[in-house]
Amino acid sequence: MRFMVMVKATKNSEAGVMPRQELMREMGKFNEELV
Amino acid sequence: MLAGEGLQPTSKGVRVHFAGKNRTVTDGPFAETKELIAGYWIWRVNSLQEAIEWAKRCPNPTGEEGQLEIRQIFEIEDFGQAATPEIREQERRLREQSKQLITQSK
Repeated sequence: MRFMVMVKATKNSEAGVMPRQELMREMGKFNEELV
Repeated sequence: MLAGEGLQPTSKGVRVHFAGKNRTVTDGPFAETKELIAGYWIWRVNSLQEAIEWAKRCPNPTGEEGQLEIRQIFEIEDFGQAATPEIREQERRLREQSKQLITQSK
């Protein structure tokens, strides 16, 4: 089965606040596990 | 994970409105933050429950209180008779072609 998982926007995301390095690293780890 | 991308803020986006034959283009930003999307993944899993378990483990993507919405994707089989053999073959071919495009574009 396939699912789309949507990240809902927030004030930060709409303001163009970019993810910090730590979040990028944690997200990278998460994406590794996903794949 | 089959795909995943971050979406730039709506200040850089537009909406194309369809009404009959009319098309209207409206520039962002769009005010209803609660209805907007900042990013997406496409996952292949065995059940909604499995998707939920993965979603709970996700690092909070926006750094503040937020939400993930999970929606199942229609497969061609779900369209039943409306998806004729010609349409199914076309769908198969288009998916194959777009896979090639993805490989080439990286």
